[in-house]
Amino acid sequence: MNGKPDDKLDSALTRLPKSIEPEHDLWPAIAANINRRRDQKHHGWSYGAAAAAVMVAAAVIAWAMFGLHTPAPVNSNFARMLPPSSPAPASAPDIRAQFAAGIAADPGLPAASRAAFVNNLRFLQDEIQRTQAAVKKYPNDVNLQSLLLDLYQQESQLMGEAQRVQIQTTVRTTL
Amino acid sequence: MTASEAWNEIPNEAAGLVSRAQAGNIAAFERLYHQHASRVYAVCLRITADRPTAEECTQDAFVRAWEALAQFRGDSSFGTWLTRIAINVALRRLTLDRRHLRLIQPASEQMLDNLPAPAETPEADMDLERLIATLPPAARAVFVLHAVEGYSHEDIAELTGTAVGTCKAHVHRARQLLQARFKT
Repeated sequence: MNGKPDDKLDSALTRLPKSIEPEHDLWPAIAANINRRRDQKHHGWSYGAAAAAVMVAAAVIAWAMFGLHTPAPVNSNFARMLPPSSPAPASAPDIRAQFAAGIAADPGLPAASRAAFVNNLRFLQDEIQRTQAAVKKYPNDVNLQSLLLDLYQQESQLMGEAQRVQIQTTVRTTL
Repeated sequence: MTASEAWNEIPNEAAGLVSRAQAGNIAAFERLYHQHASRVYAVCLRITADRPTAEECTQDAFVRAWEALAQFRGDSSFGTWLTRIAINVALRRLTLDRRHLRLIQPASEQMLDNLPAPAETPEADMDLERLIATLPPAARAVFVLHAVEGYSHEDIAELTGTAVGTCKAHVHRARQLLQARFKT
């Protein structure tokens, strides 16, 4: 290996055992560690699934409310929020973006309400983007996943609140 | 016969065990553990020179291997792949815990001076295993990888993130130290 063949050191090195038995069985600790990580992953998937469920629910509600009423000539504000040339239901991010754009451009809403909505939404979406990047980097971090879910919920609440104000304003105007 | 030797006697089972473990069968992975634990532990123990730390590194290596099983393509044997993981874990542990794996620095006379003189050491006749354990961590890690595990200087340089020349210097100096103190 190294040096002269008759070197005592080399000779002794070749006699060193390749294996040394641990003093006790390490498997129980390894199995516990693996199971713990499996559980964490499972919880991670749960949080991810919950976040996805919130997003889907928000998209379905938005589509049901705006999509079903799109042909109604009474409410031009709602019709404006859907792309006129897309018969198929849009994806959740598209609907969110369209809804946000509709609120931000709705002249029927008070200017202060629109500004507050736009600012809050921008802040939340920035946070969501940052948290998504962090979750991508640390996919097993349960706290990050929880934070992301919370942000999604806040975004949905904000949109719901904006929608409520918009409906109230539209009804008032129509009446 | 040790437990691991008993496991090793099971013929032509390694590939099947790996496949089953890759499919999430933890019982198959447990059998792989019993086949390879003593080999992994030996590497960790020689690099860290500390039994509790070596046990932790062994556990960590198997957990990491479990998580990375999907990446194992069979280009090398499972044992070789696993041992490499264990070496990385042990080297990282040295770097993190002791912060004295100064592999980037060239070997110096200070390294030679770190060992007590034989006359002052009641354990001067200690066996080679224990003598290797007394080497400074950086020199010990490189020497074990080269002289015991048979890794090339190039492989060690890659594993430790240092220059090939530095590895050679570490090995040379470590051999000088050991030859001066080794008595059989």
